[in-house]
Amino acid sequence: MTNGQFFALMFLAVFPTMAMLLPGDLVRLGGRYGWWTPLLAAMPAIVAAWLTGTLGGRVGDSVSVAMRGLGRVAGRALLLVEWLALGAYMVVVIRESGEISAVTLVTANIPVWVLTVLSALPAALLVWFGPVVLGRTAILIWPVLVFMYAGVLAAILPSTHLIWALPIVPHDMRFATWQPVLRTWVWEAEPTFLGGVLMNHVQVTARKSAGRTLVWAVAVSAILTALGTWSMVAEAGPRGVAVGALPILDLVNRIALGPFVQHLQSVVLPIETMGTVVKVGVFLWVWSRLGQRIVGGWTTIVLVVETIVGTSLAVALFPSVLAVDRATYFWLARWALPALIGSIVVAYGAATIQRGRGRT
Amino acid sequence: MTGRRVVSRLAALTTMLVTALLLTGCWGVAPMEKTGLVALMGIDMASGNRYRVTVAVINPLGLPTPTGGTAGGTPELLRSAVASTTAEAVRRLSATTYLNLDFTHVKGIVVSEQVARMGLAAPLEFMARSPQFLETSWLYVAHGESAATILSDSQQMTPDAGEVLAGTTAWAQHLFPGYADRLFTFLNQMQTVGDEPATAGVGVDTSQGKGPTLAFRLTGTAMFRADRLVGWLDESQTFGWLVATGRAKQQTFVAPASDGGAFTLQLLGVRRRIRITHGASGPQAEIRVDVKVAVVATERAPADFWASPAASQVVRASAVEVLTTDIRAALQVAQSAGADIFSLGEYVRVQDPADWYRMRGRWNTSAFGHMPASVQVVVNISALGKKFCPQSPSDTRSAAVGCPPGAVPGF
Repeated sequence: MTNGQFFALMFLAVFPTMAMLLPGDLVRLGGRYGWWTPLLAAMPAIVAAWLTGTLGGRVGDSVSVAMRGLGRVAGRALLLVEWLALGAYMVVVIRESGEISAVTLVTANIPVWVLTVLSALPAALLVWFGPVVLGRTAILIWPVLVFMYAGVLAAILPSTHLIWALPIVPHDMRFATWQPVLRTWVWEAEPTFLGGVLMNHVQVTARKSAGRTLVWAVAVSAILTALGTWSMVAEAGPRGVAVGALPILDLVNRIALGPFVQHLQSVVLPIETMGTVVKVGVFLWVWSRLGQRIVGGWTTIVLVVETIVGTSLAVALFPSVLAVDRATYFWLARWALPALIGSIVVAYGAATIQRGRGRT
Repeated sequence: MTGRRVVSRLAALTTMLVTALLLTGCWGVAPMEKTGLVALMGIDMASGNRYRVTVAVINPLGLPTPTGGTAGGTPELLRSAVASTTAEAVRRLSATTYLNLDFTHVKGIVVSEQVARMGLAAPLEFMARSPQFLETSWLYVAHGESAATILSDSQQMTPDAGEVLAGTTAWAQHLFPGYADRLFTFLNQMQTVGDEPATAGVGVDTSQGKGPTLAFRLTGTAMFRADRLVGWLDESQTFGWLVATGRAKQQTFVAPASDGGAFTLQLLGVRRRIRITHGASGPQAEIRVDVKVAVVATERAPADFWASPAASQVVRASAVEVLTTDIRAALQVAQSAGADIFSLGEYVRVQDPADWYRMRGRWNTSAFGHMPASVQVVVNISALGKKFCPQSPSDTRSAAVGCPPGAVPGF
């Protein structure tokens, strides 16, 4: 996998659902200046991504490092914790992609479980083909997604009220409180733990700059999300954004440049859906990789079983999008994210200590 | 090919075929002959505080044929239903027709004055939630008549009343003082204190005759406080409001000349700046508008008008006076109605936050109404039209336009 493909994968692991689901939360919790939160939260996320990328590039991916540094038993125990935490992420991500298909792609009354299964299947297929195919798909999609996002923001310019999004310098600090920042980390920390596992598939020559690649993935996602949220506030006002379930979708629905440039959903939403499919693919690949290392092989079987389990849990555990929203905050932000970051710290910490002992 | 590869390829093919279901455009799509495209929608009050929703459905059989006449009926069919909520009325409409009503192409929503005065949040809110609707429809207030009457009067318009009304709205935004908001802008703006919504009044102009020659007219601007109609701007006040809020585009207006003549001027560009200063009694607004105009026509212009630099000062002064009067009149009406359609509250929030947080709660009820606001208009004349004076003393093309022989234009 080239550095470009690695960046594309990490970017798509964050951006498609972050751009869709986060702005409403940011403005609901942080008010008019909620668009500052992705930038603020990106600072520690960038540091974490750079550390993981740099260490991973030098000493290897977090999975093999854990096994090497902690031994087979303790290493597997750590991977099990990581596997459970990533499983929680995986289930939420699959359900989110089903929900995005439900509200964006299909207007008829198709049960959400059908759409969730249909979103997970192509992702599983990509994973089956391997990380390089996943990377090649990602590098095709990410510029299209960014171009489309920028296009949407440009298209709504005529209907913006800039005064609604001013002043730039915040008058209050609600955007910097614990809740919005933690929710943003749920997304912005993803390159840290996904990149750590994917590291061994990056070309050896490209691994030196893996830290920088991960930093770019976090930074570009954060900047685009901040810009998008700011534009949404300028277009719909803070209350308009706060009450919207998926404000970016509302934005697309409202594009009306003259009598002919309208109904752009049919252009925008398939691209968004492709992005979420790749995102599910990245998570599924990393999750199955962890599963394979824990059971010691069984590549295809683990993938099939995990796809079935993840999709079934996604459908069974979350009857509505509100349940997904609660899960994002209560499961992921408070439990899964600390567990994943903690596992990586322990894995690389053990490897660093072992390396130090080896030198002495 | 080995058995494993065959299985792999079959699995890949099956998965691709299954996932292709995601790409379908045919999920739940009704056949064309059963689709009822709704062009316009009207909302009136009915007895018992209920809503009457009327829809104009496009009837392809009612369109004129090349040989004259129609295959059947008018270009639009009207259907209406009454219920305690507009959402329920729409459901009833759908349930009582064999057509599959499609609301994604509604060009305009017309609400009666009574509905507007009672508040639009309740009747319009479900359209923002329902995927059945797109929020890009234009919103209008029926001025002096019911929404159902307007839909009924416009039934014979071709190609259909929705297209005609959307076209009239688009022209209005460029050529004459009329301004309709889109539904989503209205719904967002009604939630913003310090920036109240406004939209066009609408009626059917029957003076042009019946049938396909019928036309809509935009009649003034309905001013809202949050979601309730609180007053109207007439045509010249609407023009003042459009100029003062930077919404005006290429409208024309007439500036009187001192000797009974008149200049017809066209806007080429408008830039509005608002400065909030902190005064003894609270914030004060200074509205400055820079306008660039072109002279489109003159009536009884002074003989030396095209050649005299001083004459342009007359046009400029007259334009300044007209625009200042219209802006002040609009501001006064808005302030007395307590509808901050000039967005001054938002400027106070940004430029004088201390005063804003103190006054926010009573902004619409008293603070906006009593806020001192000055208006300054600067007019720049960009062109005097296509007529010309000689470019050099040897140029002899000046005879037709009354320039003195050999005169070189000073502006």
